[in-house]
Amino acid sequence: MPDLYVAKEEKPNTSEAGKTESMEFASSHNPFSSFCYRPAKTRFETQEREEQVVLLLRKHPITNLSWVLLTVLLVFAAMFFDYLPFFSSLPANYQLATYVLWHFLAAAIAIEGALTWFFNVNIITDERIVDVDFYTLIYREISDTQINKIQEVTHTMGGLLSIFFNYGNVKIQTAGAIPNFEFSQVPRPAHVVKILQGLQREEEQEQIEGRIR
Amino acid sequence: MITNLDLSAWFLVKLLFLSAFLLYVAFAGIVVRQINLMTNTLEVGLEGFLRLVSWMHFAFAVGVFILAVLIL
Repeated sequence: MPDLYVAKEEKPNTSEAGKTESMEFASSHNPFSSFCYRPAKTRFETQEREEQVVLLLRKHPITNLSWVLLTVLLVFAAMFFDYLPFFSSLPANYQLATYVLWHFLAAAIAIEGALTWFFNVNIITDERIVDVDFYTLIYREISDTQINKIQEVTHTMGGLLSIFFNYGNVKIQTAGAIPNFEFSQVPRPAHVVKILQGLQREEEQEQIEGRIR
Repeated sequence: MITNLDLSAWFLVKLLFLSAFLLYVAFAGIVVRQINLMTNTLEVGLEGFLRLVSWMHFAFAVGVFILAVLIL
């Protein structure tokens, strides 16, 4: 029997969907960015060849306020050395050495604070989530778990600064060896959760279609 | 008149200052090692710049230490 009516199949406009996704998670691709969606030049040590980095996260820059303020305070404090009685009694070369050592102390605090912030990252790829932590000067820990092992994702925001600057914690419960991951003080935690949920759906789809890597 | 005690005391003070500068040189060396480790772990496109800055910082620390030995 001939068909009386055949509905036109509307193919999804993937380019539009991709554009919408990119617009929603639009972020700076500055290497110092703390929320970088699909960063261009990012690679990490245990990354597989076909694995794509979807999101690179660092703590919100405002969390650096403590060491920045301390550094500025130390630098300003050096201006008042001349008012200290024992300092004035030192020979000129020792006064200069004291100034230099004091600024070295400030520099050390700034360098450690900056490096710790820059390199302690959370990475979400299309296959897993990776947590890179540098605890002390040369001790590092890299933890990861597969996206399809994620069981629960929650995000929390608390405090005036976190509400004002839109940063918070994302807690991820997994079925892996490490049961909990936490992305602490990351920007736009709601977007992070959304991205993770999207990746979970993609993993489920891949499992159904048998496209597991 | 500078007594032997004064000389000993200033020598001790000089030693303390030089130890502090040497400590900073050690810190600068550790920063070089730290940045190498960190850039091997995570690449974002700034590795060359960071390594260069770390080595310049180390060289600066060594230079200041040598200057301290000479002028103190």
